[in-house]
Amino acid sequence: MKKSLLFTKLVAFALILSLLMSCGSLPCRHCTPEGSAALDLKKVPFSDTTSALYRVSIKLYSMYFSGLLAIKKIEDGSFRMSLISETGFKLFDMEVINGVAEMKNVFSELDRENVKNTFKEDFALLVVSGFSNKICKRYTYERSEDMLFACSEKKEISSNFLIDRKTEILKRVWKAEEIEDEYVGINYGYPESGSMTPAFITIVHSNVKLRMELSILENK
Amino acid sequence: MKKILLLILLMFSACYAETVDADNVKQDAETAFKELADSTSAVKWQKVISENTRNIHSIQSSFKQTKNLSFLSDKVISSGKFVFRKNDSDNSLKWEYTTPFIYTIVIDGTRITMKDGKKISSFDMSSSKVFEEINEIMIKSLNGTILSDNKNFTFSINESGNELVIEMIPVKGTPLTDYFKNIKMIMDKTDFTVTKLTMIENSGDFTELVFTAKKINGKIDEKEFAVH
Repeated sequence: MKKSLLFTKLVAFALILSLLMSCGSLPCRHCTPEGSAALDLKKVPFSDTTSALYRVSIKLYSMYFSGLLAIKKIEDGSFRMSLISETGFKLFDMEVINGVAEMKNVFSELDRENVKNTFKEDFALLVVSGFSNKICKRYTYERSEDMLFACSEKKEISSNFLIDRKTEILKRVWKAEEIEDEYVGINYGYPESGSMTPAFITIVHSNVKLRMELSILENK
Repeated sequence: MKKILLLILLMFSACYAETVDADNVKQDAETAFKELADSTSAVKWQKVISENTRNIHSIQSSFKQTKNLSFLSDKVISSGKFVFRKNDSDNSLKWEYTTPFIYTIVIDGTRITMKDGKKISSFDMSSSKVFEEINEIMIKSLNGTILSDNKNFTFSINESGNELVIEMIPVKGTPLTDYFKNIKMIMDKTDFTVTKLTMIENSGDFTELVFTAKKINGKIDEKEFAVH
């Protein structure tokens, strides 16, 4: 009797383990792999934008800052940006070309490597620069029309793109070690007019308590 | 023949060089005289401005702020209400932005308080050297004492109709040189208040503040600087 109970427990444990392992082999819940594909970004944020001005609020732990972010699209994948305070005081200029961000004229008190790297990574991702036609793993969600592209980057990190299959609009982008274990995520809220200049953007870090919210003031 | 030509050429070059030298000396002298005149003018105006702004205890005005970023074809324009009050020991300053966003910044002594929507944040300005310096420029520009700040700026003051055009160049080695190339202030000669302040950054981008509908020495309610 004891032996059969032990056997049943072992079988159950093996079943749970195999179930867990099979779940673990899929990078996301309720998604089906569809092989590799070139990332075809048709309707990405700022694809129809010349320039845009955002009101920015930044919450870092219990600290709160705000300002204005001016974004100018030079050409596809190439952007210039400036973060300024409401009073016109410049905090930094940034240039993003094919995913590579460079900062200039950085306000001395922000001139720290970790701060600069965070802004560079976040804002290059925000304008979705340097990803077009990259070969990525493609998945489809079972319960929605969304497609997911997971594009490997350095180390174990991947940049992930959630695209509406019907409208082809990029809804969300995030970086993670495992697809569902993101450390920075960006959500885009588009206006009803159909413009691809997001009306609202949120950038949320999970490893540091950092949250940025952007709302549009002007766009061209 | 060649030798003669060469000699003429050499003589001509020598004469030309002499003329250039003489021109340089003349230009140097003119520059020196102009600088002397400018410095005399600057000293004269520093005294006049200081005497007149001593009587300014408060300013209320509207302002229009224009931020020029070289890569943007359009300027970033905002506007609102400005309040300044000279206190016994320190000064209070309020910038209330109403267009195209609502934002208030109050500087009371060394305390800076910002209100963005319902969020209020506050910190001591002494924790930020640059903020402290910029606030000092604003305050000193408004009360006229900036013109005696020879430690941080070199000045040139010129009259243009009813206005004084004051150019301030930060002295090398001071914290402001990291940020500003030049600050230009236009002062109304009738009441010695600032009508326009342009802060030009090292990158060439600049912020321009234009003050209109000024009310000098009006009564300011204590509540004006309270942020809730």
